[in-house]
Amino acid sequence: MRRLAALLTLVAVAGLLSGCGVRASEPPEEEPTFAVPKLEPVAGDVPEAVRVEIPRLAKDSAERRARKLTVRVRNVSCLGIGVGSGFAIAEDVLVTNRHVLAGAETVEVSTWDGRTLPATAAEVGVLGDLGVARVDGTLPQVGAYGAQPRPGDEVTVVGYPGGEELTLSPGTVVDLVDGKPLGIPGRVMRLTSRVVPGNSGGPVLDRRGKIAGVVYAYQLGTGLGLAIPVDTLRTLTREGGYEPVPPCGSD
Amino acid sequence: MADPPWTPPPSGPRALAERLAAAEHDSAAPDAATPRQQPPPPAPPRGRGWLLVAVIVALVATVVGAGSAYVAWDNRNRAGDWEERAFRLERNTEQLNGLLVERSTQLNERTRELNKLAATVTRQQNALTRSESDVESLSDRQRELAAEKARVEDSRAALAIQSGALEAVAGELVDCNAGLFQLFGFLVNGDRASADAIVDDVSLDCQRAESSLGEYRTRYG
Repeated sequence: MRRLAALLTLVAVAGLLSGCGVRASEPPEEEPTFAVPKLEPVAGDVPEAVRVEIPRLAKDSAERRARKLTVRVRNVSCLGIGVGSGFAIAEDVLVTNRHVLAGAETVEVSTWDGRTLPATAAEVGVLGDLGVARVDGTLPQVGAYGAQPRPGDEVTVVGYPGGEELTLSPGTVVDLVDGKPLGIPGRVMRLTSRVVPGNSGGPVLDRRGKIAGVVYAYQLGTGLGLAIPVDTLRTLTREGGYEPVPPCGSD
Repeated sequence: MADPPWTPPPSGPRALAERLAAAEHDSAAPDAATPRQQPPPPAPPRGRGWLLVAVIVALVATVVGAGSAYVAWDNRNRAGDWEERAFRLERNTEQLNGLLVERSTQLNERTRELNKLAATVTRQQNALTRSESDVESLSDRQRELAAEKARVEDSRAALAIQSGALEAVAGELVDCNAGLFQLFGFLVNGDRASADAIVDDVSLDCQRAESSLGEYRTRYG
């Protein structure tokens, strides 16, 4: 038995040795060659071009729209010349204040680009201090109504104070108060924006350049600007309640 | 059953002599119960051992040879596989290399175009900035001119109103003057009745003209 076991062990060792005796051939060691062309460097103009600044025209487009939107309204009456502001709600229709149109024998509208458009028709609101006029020509920019402003909202009053050049007066909405004591149906918006004679009828614009109201006065005690908010404006514009412009000296 | 109590062997020279005698007796007369020793088997013949070794060596050689042959055959197959794989990889490498060259060329072309485009954008941006500045200046100037024009139109409208008022005053003064001329004519001709007939109207016209002139001066200075 011992000899048989030794024999088998010997055979097994021989088998193992025979398996390890010859090694497999190596895979080819030749490395593939890559003839990659040298890449072009990116010119320095590219990063500069990537950092293109937003053109100021586009950046200030809201301001430009505001300038285009707002018109200067000249009231020629028996008492002389009165100047106010207004803004377009249609291509040939503008909104302003009743007291800007009151007593007018002739109404003329000056646009930002120097055109003068005569008004062919004008009416004033019976209840609120609003007036509308139709002009013979096309107004430069038609405004879009925004949302009803809330206290704390940033707004901009645009107009021709004193009949001089157009100004933009930023401010915030202080509150919305009852308009009845101030002669306005609905509510009245009080603003911190600077409002002086000549701003009357001008638009109050929100941060997006949408119409948030119409300036009509300023409060003597507080110096705050007073404006008809857009909801009241829309209601009055939609429901009408207009009458012919009162003759000179009657209003 | 308990073992009998152990007693120490007797000691002394006599006891020793007895023990030696007993030992000799044991070796001279073996016990009948003890098996008898068998003689060793006969050794195998020396020639059979060599034969066994030769068989073993042949067997080992056969196993080693067979194993080696198998391993060689297997390695050859593997080598063939490796070679085929290497060729395939080389073909893939060549294709990839070609693709890489093509893509690199395209990338270079795109980069050149991008560089040109960037230069164009930069130039146009500069031009736009200049143009924008010009437009801004022109726009400002346009607004100034528009405001100036509006003010001039205000003045024109105001002058038109003033002119209308002055015209009205002038008409009243003309009426007054005409009445006065007529009145003086009557007086020079001695037509007192006619003079008396118009004197009140002339006086009223002149008062109205004077009032209008005063009002005009008050309003327009």
